Amino acid sequence: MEDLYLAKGINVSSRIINNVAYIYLEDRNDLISLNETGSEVWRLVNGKRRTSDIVDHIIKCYDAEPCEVRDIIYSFILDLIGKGALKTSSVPFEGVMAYG
Amino acid sequence: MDNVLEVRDLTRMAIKEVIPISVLIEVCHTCNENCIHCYLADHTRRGMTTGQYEMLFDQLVDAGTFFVILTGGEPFMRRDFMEIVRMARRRRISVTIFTNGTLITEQLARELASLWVQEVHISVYGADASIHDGITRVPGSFKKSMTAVDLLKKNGITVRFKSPLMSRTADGISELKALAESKDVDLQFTAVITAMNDGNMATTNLRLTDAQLKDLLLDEKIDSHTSQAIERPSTCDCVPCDTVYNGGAIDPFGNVFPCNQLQVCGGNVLEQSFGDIWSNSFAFRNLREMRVDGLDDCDGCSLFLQCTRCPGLALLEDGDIRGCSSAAKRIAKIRRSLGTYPLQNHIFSKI
Repeated sequence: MEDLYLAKGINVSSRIINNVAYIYLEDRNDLISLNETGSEVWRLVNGKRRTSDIVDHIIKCYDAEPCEVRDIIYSFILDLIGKGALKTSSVPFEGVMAYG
Repeated sequence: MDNVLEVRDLTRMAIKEVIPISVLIEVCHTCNENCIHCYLADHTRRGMTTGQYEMLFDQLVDAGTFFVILTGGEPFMRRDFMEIVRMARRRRISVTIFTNGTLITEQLARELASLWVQEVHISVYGADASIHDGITRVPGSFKKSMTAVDLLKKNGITVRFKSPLMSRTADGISELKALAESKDVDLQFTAVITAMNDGNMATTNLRLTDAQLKDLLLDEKIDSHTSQAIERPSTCDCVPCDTVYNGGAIDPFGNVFPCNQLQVCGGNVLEQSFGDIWSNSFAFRNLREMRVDGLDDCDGCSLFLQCTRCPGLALLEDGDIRGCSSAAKRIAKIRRSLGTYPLQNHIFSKI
């Protein structure tokens, strides 16, 4: 997976409440909640961090095999990109896309 | 790593955890219409600045707010209104807008769509200009509102008509439904015109007559009902209204209320944070302690199961937040004569 900057899609509404991320996809009318690790990934997405920054942070947080964590997080991020919840760019995001 | 939910699951969680998940924000009281039924007493005072809204949205994020409704007055009367929408969307707060639509241009519709505004609700009082413009007292307003509906729909935005019913508009309901269908928009009716927020009761003279209510309360679109009384739960764990558990309202001057119809001020966001007001204000804590079995007039009332009492209206129109709401009682009596029971009964809100 290419190491790109990640931002929360503008088609998304979201809030982290009691450490749980709730994500509403406005274009699909779908609401999802994320588990603890997923919520931490979501919290870190701010348009200014690359995928590798987020994966490195999660590896530091959890006492687990780095390769295994990396695969899980990449797969999770790809899933969110597929749903349209995350956007990618080769340069840092700006304006309404840069928030987290 | 994810779990699919419904919005009502989020609302339930918010009530349980006492999180202001949905907040209505009146960004101004100024308006370019002059509706005969408007509940706002003063349309002149200036509201908070753009910068103060930036601060407010940060506070709402901290408090856990997911949805905001931006309304007025007429919100597009503010030159910085789109900046306010952008502030909310930048924080990924879901935005619904209540407007008369008359100031919406093609460019604004495109920008609202690009920001993924969830819904735009347009006030519509009749299916033609003669009825609608008679209520707004602005010639040409119907045409402008309908143009806005077309522009918003063209840009893929979900639009709803909001129609408060009055004695003089009731005869045109079928035509209004047909108009909504032709525009492919949902239509929401309100059966009760409220007093003005300064207690002036003049607007209540516009309410539907008893005869009109007898016809209209059988309409599912106006009053979702059943012919079977729902089982009466224990009233000790029911609250008169759940708004103070999961939502709030903020006027253009920063005053925080549980709802724009419940005029009990918890504090002002220009003096303390929204989260502090929400969690710690004496007024809100006091409201959260209210239970249905503490409502003396409801105890033993034969209309209890047919009543959709609003504490805000009881306070505003009858002077006692714990007392009987004459507006709700009138409708409950008509439901009894029809043998119907409301499905959405606020008095049964359990926490």
